[in-house]
Amino acid sequence: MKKTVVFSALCLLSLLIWIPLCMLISGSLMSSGEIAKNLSPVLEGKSGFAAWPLMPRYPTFRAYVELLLDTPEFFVMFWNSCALVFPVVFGQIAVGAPAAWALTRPRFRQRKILRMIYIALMLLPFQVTMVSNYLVLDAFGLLGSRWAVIFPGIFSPFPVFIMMRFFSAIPESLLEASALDGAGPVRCFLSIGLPLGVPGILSASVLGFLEYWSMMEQPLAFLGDKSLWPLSLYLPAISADKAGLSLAASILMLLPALLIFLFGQHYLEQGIQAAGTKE
Amino acid sequence: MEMGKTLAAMPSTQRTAAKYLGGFFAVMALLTFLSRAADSFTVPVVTAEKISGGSLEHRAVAEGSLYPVSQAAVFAPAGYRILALHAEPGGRVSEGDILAELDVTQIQEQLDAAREELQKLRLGAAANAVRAPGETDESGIAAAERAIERAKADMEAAERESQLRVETARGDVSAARRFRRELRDMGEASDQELDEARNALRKQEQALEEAYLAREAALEAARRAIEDAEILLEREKAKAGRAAEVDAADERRAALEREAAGVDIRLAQQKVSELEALLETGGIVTAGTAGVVMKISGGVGSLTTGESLFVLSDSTAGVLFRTSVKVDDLKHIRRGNPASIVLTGERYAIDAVIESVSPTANGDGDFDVAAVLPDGSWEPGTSGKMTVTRKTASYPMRLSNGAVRKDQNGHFVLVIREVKGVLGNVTVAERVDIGVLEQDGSRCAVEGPLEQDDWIIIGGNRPVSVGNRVRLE
Repeated sequence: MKKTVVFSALCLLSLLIWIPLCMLISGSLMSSGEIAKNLSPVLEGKSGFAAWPLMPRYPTFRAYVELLLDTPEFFVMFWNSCALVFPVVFGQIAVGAPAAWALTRPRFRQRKILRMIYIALMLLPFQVTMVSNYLVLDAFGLLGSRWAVIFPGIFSPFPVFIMMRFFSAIPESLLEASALDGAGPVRCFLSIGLPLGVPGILSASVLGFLEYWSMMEQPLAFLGDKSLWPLSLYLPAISADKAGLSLAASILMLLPALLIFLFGQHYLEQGIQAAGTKE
Repeated sequence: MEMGKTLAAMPSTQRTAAKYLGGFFAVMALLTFLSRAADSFTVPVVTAEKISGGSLEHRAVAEGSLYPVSQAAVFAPAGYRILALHAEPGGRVSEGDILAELDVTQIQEQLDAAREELQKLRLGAAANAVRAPGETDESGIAAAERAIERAKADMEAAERESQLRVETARGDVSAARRFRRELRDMGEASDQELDEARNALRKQEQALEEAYLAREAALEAARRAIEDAEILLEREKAKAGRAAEVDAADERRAALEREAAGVDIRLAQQKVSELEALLETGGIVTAGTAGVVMKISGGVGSLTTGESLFVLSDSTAGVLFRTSVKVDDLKHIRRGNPASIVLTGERYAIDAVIESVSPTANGDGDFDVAAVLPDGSWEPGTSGKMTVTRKTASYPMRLSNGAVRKDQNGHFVLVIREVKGVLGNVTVAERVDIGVLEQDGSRCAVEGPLEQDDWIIIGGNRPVSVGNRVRLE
């Protein structure tokens, strides 16, 4: 009985979270005329309140058809997003995993200071580091190219922080035993650290994907060429009279993030546990 | 194989998500291709040109036909039935050739009727010539004058008579006075005698007074008689004047009637002569000159109208190409300009010269243009097409007419410009306002901010608007 009450209460609460998604889905299935009619108090300044029915009166896939078959710009930006996000995620694994191992396992005197610096950097929001990033990228001649977004992403401290928690959970005795068997530090990292740290790597990847899939400031600041802009910048560019197109684009943008999340949900939970528990 | 193993090791949710993720990207790749393919259909493929310098060539084309320089009309009197036609339009005839035959019986009947009509008119004229003599009314005036004379004579007689009476009365008064004075002087007359004498004198004086009055009355009566006679004379004179005016108008009318009758007689005489002449020829209409039959007004069985029955051309005098042009084309056609004429059925153009340009007779604003053809065996009536070309001065910027567009803001062209966008460098149609200086049938001279390297859209496989993406063919 008690469980039922709690379950019902939680369902009601979750509905609040589902409402925006429902509106997104129903809006993407409305005709442009219906959207304009519902949103006219907002879009055209008419009197009254905007209405948003959960079910479209005349459902149509017109917005999806137009977006998917008649808007090549959408696909250019979609693949731009992929071209930015995947190198960043792979780069974070390639760079972050050794860094996290180095900050976890080898004992050296400045390790704590370095970890403090990493955490401090992780806490700084993008707006704070934007100018320094800009100057550095300009000095390297990377401004205006995809690398201007990819490199700062690759060297982000956050995945290092996540992976550090996983690597630190590997028993020290296991590493000592492998060292006794003749394994060097690299061998230990590749053969023991990486396989045992896969959940951490994957959860860092999922979080990295979700973060960079929806990034806006970085491409706006570092990419002048619109042909390199990611999909996250496509949505604000759609005018109010094409709201249906915008909602359909939102759904499509949501899909890979959702699938990636489902794919990495298990590891993400482990990562959260790892970050939240002590040895 | 390795990937399969990895997937198999994953939890089911994770495995499903991985599959859907792979499917999602595969679908997106496919849709990317499809949207590009659709884009290639929807983006207009346009043809374009660059501006060029040079002159415009105004060209006026008009259809017309050949006409002889000189034409002759063959007439037949109106109202006769055409029994036979011996010529047809375009046929060549010689001088004296029989062109048509009219109904002789009808001519004879009409001749008889015309002769009778003439006779009737002549008789009518003769009757009018026998005119009643004018009657002048002089008797009234003479009578009035005589009455005046009589009144004057009466007045003189009355004056004399009354004067005589006065004189007599005056003498009687004097005698009575003398008698009384003598009677008084003698002193022996009784008072009775004196009274009688006095009375007698008074009577005589009274008689004298009456005589005076009678004379005045007689003179007044005579003067009135004279005035009445004079008034009568004036009236008679006025009456006589009016009568004279009426007589003059009658005379003029009669003269005009005589003149009209003369004209009628002459016309009737003329008609009779024509009919006699026509009858003499046996009702045959012949060609007065050699040439080509241009026009026949009437057919077998119809009546002649009196207008030209045949129009013959004189081909020896040369031919003209005649056409009519609109006023817009006229500015390119001047007298003396060369013209190129292609006749129907001919393959080669004939060089001609514009001979005359004049407004059409019907006043519709068009202009008749005639061009002289060089010597040759041209057949009048042949139709053809005349082309007159005129070059303008050189312009620095010329475009095809199809490149110039117009809306309520004026003339403009769509220039292909490369812009950076989401799709990279794409070509779009950009509006550039221009001014049109002059235009011919295919090109126009323009002015505006255009560069030599600009590609200007002149057409496409679908309509292009400002801002549209386009592809250059």
